Amino acid sequence: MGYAGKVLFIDLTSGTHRTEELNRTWAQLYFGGKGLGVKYFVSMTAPSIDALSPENRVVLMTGPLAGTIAPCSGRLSVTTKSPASGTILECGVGGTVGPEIKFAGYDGIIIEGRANDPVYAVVDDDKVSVHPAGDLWGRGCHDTELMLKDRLGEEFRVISIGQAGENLVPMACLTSELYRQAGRGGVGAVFGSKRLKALCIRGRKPVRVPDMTEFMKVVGELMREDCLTDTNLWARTDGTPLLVEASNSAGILPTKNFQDGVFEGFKTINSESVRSVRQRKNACFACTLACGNYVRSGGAVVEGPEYETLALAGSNCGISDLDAVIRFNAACDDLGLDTISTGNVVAFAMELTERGIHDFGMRFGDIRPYLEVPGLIARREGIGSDLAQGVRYVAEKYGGRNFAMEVKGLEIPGYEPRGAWGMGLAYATSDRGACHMRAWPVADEAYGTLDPFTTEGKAALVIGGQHYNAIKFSLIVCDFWAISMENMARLASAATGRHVTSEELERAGERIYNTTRLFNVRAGFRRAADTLPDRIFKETLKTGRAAGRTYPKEEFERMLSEYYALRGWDEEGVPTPTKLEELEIS
Amino acid sequence: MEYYQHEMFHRNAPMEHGQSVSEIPSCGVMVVLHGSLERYAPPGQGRRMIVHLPRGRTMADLIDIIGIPRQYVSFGAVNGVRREMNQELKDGDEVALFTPLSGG
Ligand code: SF4
Repeated sequence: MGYAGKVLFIDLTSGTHRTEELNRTWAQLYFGGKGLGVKYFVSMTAPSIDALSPENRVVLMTGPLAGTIAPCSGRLSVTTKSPASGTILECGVGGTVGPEIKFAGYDGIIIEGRANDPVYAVVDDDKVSVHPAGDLWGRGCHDTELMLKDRLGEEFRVISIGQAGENLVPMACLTSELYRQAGRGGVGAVFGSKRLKALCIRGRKPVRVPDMTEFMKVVGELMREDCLTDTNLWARTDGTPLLVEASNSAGILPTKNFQDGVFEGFKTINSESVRSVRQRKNACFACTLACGNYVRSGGAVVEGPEYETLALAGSNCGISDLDAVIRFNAACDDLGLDTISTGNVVAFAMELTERGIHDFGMRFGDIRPYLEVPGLIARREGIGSDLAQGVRYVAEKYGGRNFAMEVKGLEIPGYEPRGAWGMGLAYATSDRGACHMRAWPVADEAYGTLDPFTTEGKAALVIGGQHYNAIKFSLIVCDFWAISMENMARLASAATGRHVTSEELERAGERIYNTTRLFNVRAGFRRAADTLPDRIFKETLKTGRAAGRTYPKEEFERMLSEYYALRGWDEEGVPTPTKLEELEIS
Repeated sequence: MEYYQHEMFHRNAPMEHGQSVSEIPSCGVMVVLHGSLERYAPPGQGRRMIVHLPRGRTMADLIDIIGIPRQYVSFGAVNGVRREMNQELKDGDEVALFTPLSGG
């Protein structure tokens, strides 16, 4: 129950499809979303494959709560192998596409193979078809989505790629409902390599829960007592732009390619400024928090800009002009580019230019070239052909390795690790390169009461966060609801009809984290890759709370060893056979 | 910018009979209530207000005076820099208060 009971496989090589019964044993061990998507993915895919080959797959997986009225349950998990990092890549996208898959009668959709020519796939309840997409190829996500809705009907939910995905740019994302992205690690390029322009879904089936009265009671109580409280309602009043001022105050707002943690121009890109151009709020399916902000400014309309965009494409590029950030954001959304990685590579190019290492024709704060870069990257034209390959590639080609702000090839998001030492460990040990969504110790360090400038206790903190998020993204409860494990267990029990405890969820979180780690180990990743750029260890920040402090590499390495030991991994970060057996991972 | 003398000031800083507000040794701080904390501002006030406090009061005192339950304030910043709760406030300070934050 809670599950549709079926998984749909679409093979683009042959243009055929098939359905399989949901693997109930896996559903019990991994629940749904991230965990179940990862389990399906690793069971079918060799870790050594080229991410852009037909052997790669894309697993779209819903959770047991998708399509119900449980708040914050409307997101969709997407798993593949990342062309940016070479690790496993799991990312989430909001909107309504997740529940729509459930309404069509599936827990997940798995895309395999490669079409000869561009195609789009349509899932209309039980009817599945693949169509030529020649007229859509070359278009942005907005045109693509609107044209497909015109063609198929307004009720279809569309998930598509723009020109960046078509051109296999490793920072290409998927876009749904015009403004929602599965952003990181290049899942858009994987779609592009399969010549899959879009996936369109319409469903009309009901979603069942085991006991409707009990389900409504649990959801109602949790909504009142845990969700709609002052702990979470910042999402509604502000949404993520609130973090601009919070991070700036805490000295962790990435500024000018992570040269500082405080940005003098923060006031024009903070939440108050975003609210001043906001037209209305927006929410994913069944969400009561509604973190989305529709803004119109500078001739552009976006749902955003989110904190990550304001930080990486704003302060980190020395840009304090909100109109410019919004236009950059709108361009990236349409071209299908991840704003975190795109902002990072622009900032890196600006620093290389300022230092005279290579002239990309732009310096911090230069708006005109900054606004041209997304188009150049997506089309791989001019400087865009280098920048499209990401910060690591550009550093290897031109220099600046010490300040190439990436981990495992994935660019660093909006939290400066020198002002939150545990966050450094979270980036280093994330399963997809530098990512803020595996553990978020900044909540306790930079914004909370823990000392940010120590490694003491941080290994356990990061592990706890990684397990919590792994299971949260498997049940699919949005990040922005700070729900307790106990209440997640109540939701899981109400959706599945079996008694789920918080201990079981904690263990499932650990199982999921070890499953992704094992894939990465088999893909060749070891301790040497679990690190941070030299800038973090060798340079100090100039301003703010962390000014003048060094983050000693030896301290970081000690914390990393402690992390491995607590996890039951060896000194190279490889899960031991005993640990894998204990977690029932094969 | 709107100015407002928070009513709680009168409750927390007792006045001598006949004494006017201006005669109390006090300091005025600009408070910015971020996120859902804005609902602790008086109706129609937005999220910015001026609160007058007796001298020597801290950020923690300010939060109590406004009446925000402490578990809903994750941290505060004075003049743009995060400070501890026992930070003493001075006349003209701008104090930003934040709710707990999750995700990102
Ligand atoms: S809080 Fe935002 S991202 Fe999360 S489910 Fe709600 S609208 Fe979607």
